[in-house]
Amino acid sequence: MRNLWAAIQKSLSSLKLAVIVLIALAGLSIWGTIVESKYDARTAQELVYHSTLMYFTIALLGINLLFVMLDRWPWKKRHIPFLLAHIGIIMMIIGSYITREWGVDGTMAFRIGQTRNWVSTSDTYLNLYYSKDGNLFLPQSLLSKKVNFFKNPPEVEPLVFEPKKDIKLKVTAYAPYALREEKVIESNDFSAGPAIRFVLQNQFTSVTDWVLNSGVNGGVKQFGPARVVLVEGKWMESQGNEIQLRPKGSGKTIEYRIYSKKHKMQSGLIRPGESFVTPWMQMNFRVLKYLAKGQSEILYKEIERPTDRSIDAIQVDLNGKNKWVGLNSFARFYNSDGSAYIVSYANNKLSVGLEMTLKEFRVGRYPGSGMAKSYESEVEVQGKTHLISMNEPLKMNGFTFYQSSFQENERGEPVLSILSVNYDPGRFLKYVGSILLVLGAIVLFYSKNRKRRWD
Amino acid sequence: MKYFVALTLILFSEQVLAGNTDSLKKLPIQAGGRSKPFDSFAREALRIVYGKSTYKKKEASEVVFTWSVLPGHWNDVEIVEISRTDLKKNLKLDEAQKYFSPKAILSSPRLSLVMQELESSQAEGKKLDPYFQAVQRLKGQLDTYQAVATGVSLSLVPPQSGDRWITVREFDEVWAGRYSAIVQGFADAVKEGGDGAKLDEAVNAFIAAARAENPNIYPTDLVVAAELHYSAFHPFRWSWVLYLLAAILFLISGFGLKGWTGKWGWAFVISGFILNSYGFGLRIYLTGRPPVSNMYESVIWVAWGVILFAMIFEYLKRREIFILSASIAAALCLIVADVSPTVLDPTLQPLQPVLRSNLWLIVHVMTITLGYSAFALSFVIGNIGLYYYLKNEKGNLKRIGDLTEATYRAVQVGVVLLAAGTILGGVWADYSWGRFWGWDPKETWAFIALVGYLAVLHGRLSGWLRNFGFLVTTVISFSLVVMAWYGVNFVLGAGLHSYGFGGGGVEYVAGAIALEFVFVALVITVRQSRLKKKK
Repeated sequence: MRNLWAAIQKSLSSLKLAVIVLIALAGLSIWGTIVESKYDARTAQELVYHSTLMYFTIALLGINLLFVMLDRWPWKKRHIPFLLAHIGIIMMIIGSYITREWGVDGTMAFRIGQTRNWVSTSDTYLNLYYSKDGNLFLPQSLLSKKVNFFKNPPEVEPLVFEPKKDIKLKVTAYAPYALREEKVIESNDFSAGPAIRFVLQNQFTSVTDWVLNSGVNGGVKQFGPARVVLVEGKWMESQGNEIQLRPKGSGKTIEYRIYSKKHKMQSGLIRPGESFVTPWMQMNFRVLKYLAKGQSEILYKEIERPTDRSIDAIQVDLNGKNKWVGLNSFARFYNSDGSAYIVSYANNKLSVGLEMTLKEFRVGRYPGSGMAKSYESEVEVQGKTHLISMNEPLKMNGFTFYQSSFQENERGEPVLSILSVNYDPGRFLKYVGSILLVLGAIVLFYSKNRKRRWD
Repeated sequence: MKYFVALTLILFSEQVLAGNTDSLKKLPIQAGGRSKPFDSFAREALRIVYGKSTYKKKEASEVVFTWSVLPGHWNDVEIVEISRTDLKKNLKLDEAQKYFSPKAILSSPRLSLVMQELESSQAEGKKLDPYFQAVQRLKGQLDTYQAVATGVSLSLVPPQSGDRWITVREFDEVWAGRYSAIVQGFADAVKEGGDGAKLDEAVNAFIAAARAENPNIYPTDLVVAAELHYSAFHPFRWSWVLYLLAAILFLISGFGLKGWTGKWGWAFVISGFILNSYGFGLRIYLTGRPPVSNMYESVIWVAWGVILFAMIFEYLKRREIFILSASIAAALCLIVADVSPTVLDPTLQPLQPVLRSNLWLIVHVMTITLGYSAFALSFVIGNIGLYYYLKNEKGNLKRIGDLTEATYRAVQVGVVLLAAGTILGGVWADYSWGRFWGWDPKETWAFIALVGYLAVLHGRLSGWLRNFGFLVTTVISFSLVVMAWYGVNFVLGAGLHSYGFGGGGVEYVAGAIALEFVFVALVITVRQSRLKKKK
């Protein structure tokens, strides 16, 4: 028994183990950067940096360092720099673990004028709500479950919930990278309106799209300086370069009117498959298809590699009907009595214990150019105004708010500010560890008393 | 109009212009977020469009100025560089040609289609592949050329309030008059026997009037003169010439650095170092910040650091190997920076928001790149050590031992600096982004290089690596530094450090690394076969 312990101690404190662990750490990290370059940061985190293998390697490094130090017992003065450097690394490992386990790393995105009291974190939840009128949902959820489909894909381990007697919710598929698409399909719903699929093109541009009359204000599709409007009954007042369409009878023919500002410039009849040329911008307008009753459907198309626009999406099955739900969106399942179940798949919302309002967002630019020089959010908390800018965070309620990013509208005006919100209980250990490591390494390398043979 | 005719005749003769048009260079212009002399603007514009900063021995300021006064002429001149064959093919241009006239490209029926493809590729949010990068470059080339030709990028007069300068297109009659005096002066200067006196007069009058509009934002004569001097003098070019001469002299004199060759070598190294520092100082003066914010500046800083370390080591250890290796490494760095302006952008650019006004950020970058300097030094010394293994191991045991120790010391310094710099980067990221470590590719690769060298040092401590193994692994580990330094920005192209991203040069860097690996493999094979024979 004693011998076995000695053998374990010897191998755990060996320098050769240190070299192997270091090489493994480097190898894993290289793999991580390759994954990130091929996919995205999230995939690299899930697959490599926060994988069991990585945690095991880092833990082994910590154990190795600990045993190497114990091996030198009883310690002498000359061991001090060596001990400092190694204790420093152990402290950094522990500090990082504390951050990972108990820290908060969230984002707060708000438009100018909006107020927030929560941040969204990378944890994801599956929620189920019931709505009596099919529209508003009750604050209380029938189900709220923390999920990580990236690590535990439902294809391997199907998730089935039965929160009430006659509800069976299943997650049947997971797409880590998917693009949201809106499609118009034929509908049986009596309240659905007509829909027209068209192409609008000239030598510079070509758009193929649907215009769907949802019933309230007529269907409108805006394309920069022009728009296509689908009306029923009365013609609408024009607002610029506009094509108005009005199906006649069964939709075999469609009346059209072309406006420029308020003036009607051209009118006539068109059938699916036919086309006309607009007086402005010389655009060719062609009707491709007509549906008497159409409804829009959200689809998620799975793609192999992520892009800036892709998100992850799940396919859920509720009592036999299935739908795709993208991250931070929801799907409605109507019942025959007009009520509905609503399934949402969303990032966790964590309260920060204070209400913050975005008063203003400013982008400073280098003189005479569009190059950004600074970003700055002006926020209000409890009646007091604070500035958060790049490199100048705001500390409050134990959280630190950093300026992270922003979004502009089509005119290039900033409309949305994104803050990174953070709570890090491991910070102190990491900082002390860093200082010990660097100090130890400097003294260790500078000391001349360790004569090595340069044979 | 007659000036234009005169100009056209001279330009068509495709000869070096007769007169002196230097006065044009000092005319301040606002571009790229700062004010600069017309000379710098013209060099940048010509480099974007043509790929070089002179056109058929004509200076950039002359060429770019005439784009705006004689667009009719330049539209037909083959001045837009397109390198990618598939792009030429898609535009239905002659694939054998390298340069094309703006007119030929703009009249290509496929141009709008190609540009639309670029737009839709960008709209999908995908990373641009090399083909689309080339399309994007072409877009930039055409935009730059047309903006000069139409005058919309010639912002020559500061506004009385606000910060966007007034362009030639927006000139009122008074300013148009002052500007046409410059055009007249230019036409006069390029005529046979012109001396440019009239041009100088017109430019000076223009500058005086422009400064009177808003003296606060108009650059002083001193700043303009400093930038003109910086561009004309090329301190870093002189610096590498001197380092290279020193390296050659040191190699001739051998290890003792005795005799006149050693003395002259030292003189050259020191003068090179002074010029290297001087160029650095000029950049700091012109940009108002430490110049370590892009790849070009970091390469120059590394060259400086290598020499600095060598001098310190020399002082502490009295081993001439350091200064010899350092002059080789520094000369290589500066040559690479000098010959590849399209990859390593030498122009003076304002800082991105994330990099602004933060002491720790600057300290973190400078510390890490100084670490790279120490590793560069270890790389060169290590290779010299391997050369002695190849030449005659038995006869050089003492020398190889010395070289190994020198390599070991350089690696130690590099490890300390890289560790400190990476941690400082963490502190800065914590302060600025709210996280100490986030596995961003740039920080991850710095970590990989650090861990790699730590493995080498511990391999040596554990006795796994003897002198030979240590030299081989050290030299190979430098490829990790190349990856962390260059590869993340130019090959991976992902992550938060995107402000340093660029493209190009991959084949050369990969080639150099491959060559190094071949050399190492050669040394290992030769040594193995010698050892076998002995048995």
